[in-house]
Amino acid sequence: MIRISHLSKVYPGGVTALRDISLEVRPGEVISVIGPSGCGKSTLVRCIEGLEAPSAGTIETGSSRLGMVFQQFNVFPHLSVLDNVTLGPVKLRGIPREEAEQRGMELLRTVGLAEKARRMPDSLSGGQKQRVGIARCLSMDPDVLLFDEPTSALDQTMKTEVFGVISELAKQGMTMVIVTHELEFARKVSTRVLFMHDGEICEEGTPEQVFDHPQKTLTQIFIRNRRSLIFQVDSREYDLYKFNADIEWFCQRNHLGKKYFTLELITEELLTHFLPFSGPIHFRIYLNDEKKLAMEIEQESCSSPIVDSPEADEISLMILQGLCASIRERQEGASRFLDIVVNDVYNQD
Amino acid sequence: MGRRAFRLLGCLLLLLLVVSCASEKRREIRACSDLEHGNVGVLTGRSNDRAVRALFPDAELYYFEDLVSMCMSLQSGHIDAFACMETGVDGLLARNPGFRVLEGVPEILDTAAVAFREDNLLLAGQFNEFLRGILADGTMDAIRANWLAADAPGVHYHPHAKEGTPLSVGIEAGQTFFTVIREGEGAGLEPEMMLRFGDYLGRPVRFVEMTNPGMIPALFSGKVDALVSAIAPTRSRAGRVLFSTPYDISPVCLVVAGAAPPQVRKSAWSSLKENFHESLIADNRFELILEGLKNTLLITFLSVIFGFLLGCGLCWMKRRGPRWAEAFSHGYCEIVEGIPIVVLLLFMFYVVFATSPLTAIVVAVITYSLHFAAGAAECLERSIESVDKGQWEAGKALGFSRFGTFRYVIAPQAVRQFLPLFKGKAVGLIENTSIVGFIAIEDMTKVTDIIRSQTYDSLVPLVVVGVIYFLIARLISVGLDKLGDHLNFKVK
Repeated sequence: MIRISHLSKVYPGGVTALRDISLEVRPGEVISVIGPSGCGKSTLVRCIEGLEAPSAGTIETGSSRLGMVFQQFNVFPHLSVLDNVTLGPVKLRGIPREEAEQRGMELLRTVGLAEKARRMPDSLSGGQKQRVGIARCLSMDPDVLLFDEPTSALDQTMKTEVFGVISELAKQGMTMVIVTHELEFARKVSTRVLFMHDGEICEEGTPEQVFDHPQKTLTQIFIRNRRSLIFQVDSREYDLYKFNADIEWFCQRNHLGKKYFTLELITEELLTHFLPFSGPIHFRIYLNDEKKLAMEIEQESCSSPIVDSPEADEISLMILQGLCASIRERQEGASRFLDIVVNDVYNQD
Repeated sequence: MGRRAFRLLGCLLLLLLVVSCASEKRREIRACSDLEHGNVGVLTGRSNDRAVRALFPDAELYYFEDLVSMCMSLQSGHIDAFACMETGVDGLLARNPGFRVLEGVPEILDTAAVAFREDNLLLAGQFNEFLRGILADGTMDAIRANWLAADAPGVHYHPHAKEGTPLSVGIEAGQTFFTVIREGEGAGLEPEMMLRFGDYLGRPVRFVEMTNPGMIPALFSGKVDALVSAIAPTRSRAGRVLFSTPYDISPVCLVVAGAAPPQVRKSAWSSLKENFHESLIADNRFELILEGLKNTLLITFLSVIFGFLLGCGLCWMKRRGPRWAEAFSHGYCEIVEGIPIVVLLLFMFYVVFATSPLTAIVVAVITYSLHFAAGAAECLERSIESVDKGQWEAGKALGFSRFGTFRYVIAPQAVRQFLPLFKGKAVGLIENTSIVGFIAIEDMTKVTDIIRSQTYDSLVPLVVVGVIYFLIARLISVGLDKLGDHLNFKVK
């Protein structure tokens, strides 16, 4: 359906966004493109859509029609929801207005917005706008749908709305290329996952291959980092609110619900009563192989026990032990490590 | 409600200000010595400023463009006296009962001559020949009696010559005693003299009405063959134009305002009524205003339309044109917006289109269109750029061409930003057209000058024309607002 060969893109400023990319999109495929920010994944779909001119290489789309869904929705604010989905058919394909409106209502029904047909887009939420954007694409009967980070500008509930619509389209066999940061969603919906790094396709395969058994180091680091939270504390004057906000965001992203509360208690207890601040402290919060919430803490320039120390406050120690399923301490060079598995009892929502 | 009340209050205050300013306050001048440190008015372009300077070295000189403004200023006490030629002063005194000539002024002569192009020796020679004739046979005295005496009949002279190349003569209505405008035709000593000169040559005469700054350029560029406006043949001017022998030599006299005679002091209301009648009804002067209105509207609307079309072109060049076109468009807008419109207008009329057969109105429309185009381009560009870039991409992704995207997606959104900006520019244009009198177009402002020169009353014509300008501006602005409401998003 789409055949890309040796595609390169260099922006006028000299920034190379894509290097020699070759890719084939076959009918019925749902391809997710993942990768760190600035890896060129957005540029790739923008090139396919024709919004950016390639610097080298070719993109063959044959007779297939493409539609694109944008990160910022780009719905037409001067037209009602229904007019947004009839503008293309009426003006571009000469379909009579009545027929176009009937079809438009059907499309709005499929994205769940039929009752909002007469509303202006400015009165809709972000998730609803994005669904209008999808319906507008569908109004032109595309063969391939391209999504450029369709949920990045949305909060969790709105993301879920939009994911629902995209999953439904996937079920109906729509061919799609989705640029996204949502790994869990990509795993559920895709038939193929591309991991891009620095303008190149670094690794590709089924979701299981890429997410669970990545072959390339870059992919491994990316997947692991996406699933862990890293935070560094240098002194007692650390930014508590930033740390807590990061923890909450991490939990939200990994669908861990209210578990952030337990994590916050543990980190606060450790920072207030146990860690000696003998040097920088590195926190890594992650899901271990048994899908349990775990934490690794490295205290630099420390060789004495932290939790097992005789000076430890008894009450604090009791609280900490109650919050954690296990606490293990080890020494590596000049650093003292704590390995903690969070207690499941407190992991209930 | 509150806003409406405030608006009314504002209008009332403004009116009060006008009325209070129009009330009289003046200082009595009895002898020459009273003027030593006084304020003396003179006309630009005559030589009597030098006479005044010689008589009162410490006096403050005020330069006026026309006699009417000078009379008004004397009336209101802004100046203590003004200088003019003695010829015709009787007529002026008859019309302004409070005025009198100051006695005991040392005699200094002022002269008036016709100006020709430097190389037009033939015409100047013919005129001198003709002038000698009418001075000798008493015709000139008859003309003088017809126009300048206190009870001058002011009979129009009807020329015989109808065929042949017209002789175009630049005149300034109301500037001096010598030329007035009556029923739309030039009347007065100078027009009659020139009509007779036309007969003498066997050529019809075409009068071109102009204002002082435009006269000399008009002569140079060949728009007119001769200038008659009580011009004093000074030596510095003689180097550039050719002067005839003087048709009038008379002493400079100083007019001062005495106490107004009691019978003239009517109630404010009845004098306003009389002025209203004089300014608008008598001699069908409202027709003059309508004619002026027609010209003002014609220039305004044609310039808005052509200027907008040109502006679209400029905007396209800025946004999509090749490099050179973009640079041209930017440069054009900067230059045009940086030059005062009056300079641009004079430049177009007297330099660019100096020898072209285009009428002044066409030149005005061209000039205002060129000027308005720069403003319109700026409005267009700013309103298009106010629309999010993503909208262009969305249009393209849906399958629209660039023009289709513009037509169906960008333009409907940009128009909201565009209309208020455009409104300001369009209203500014109407106001700007009030200077077309500089190139001898009788627009509303110029017509006011003419009426003022005939009636010696400024208040009524200025207020009437001011109100008309205001109404046109409101009309445009309300019209564009309505259009904007019509096109506005139907927010539900």
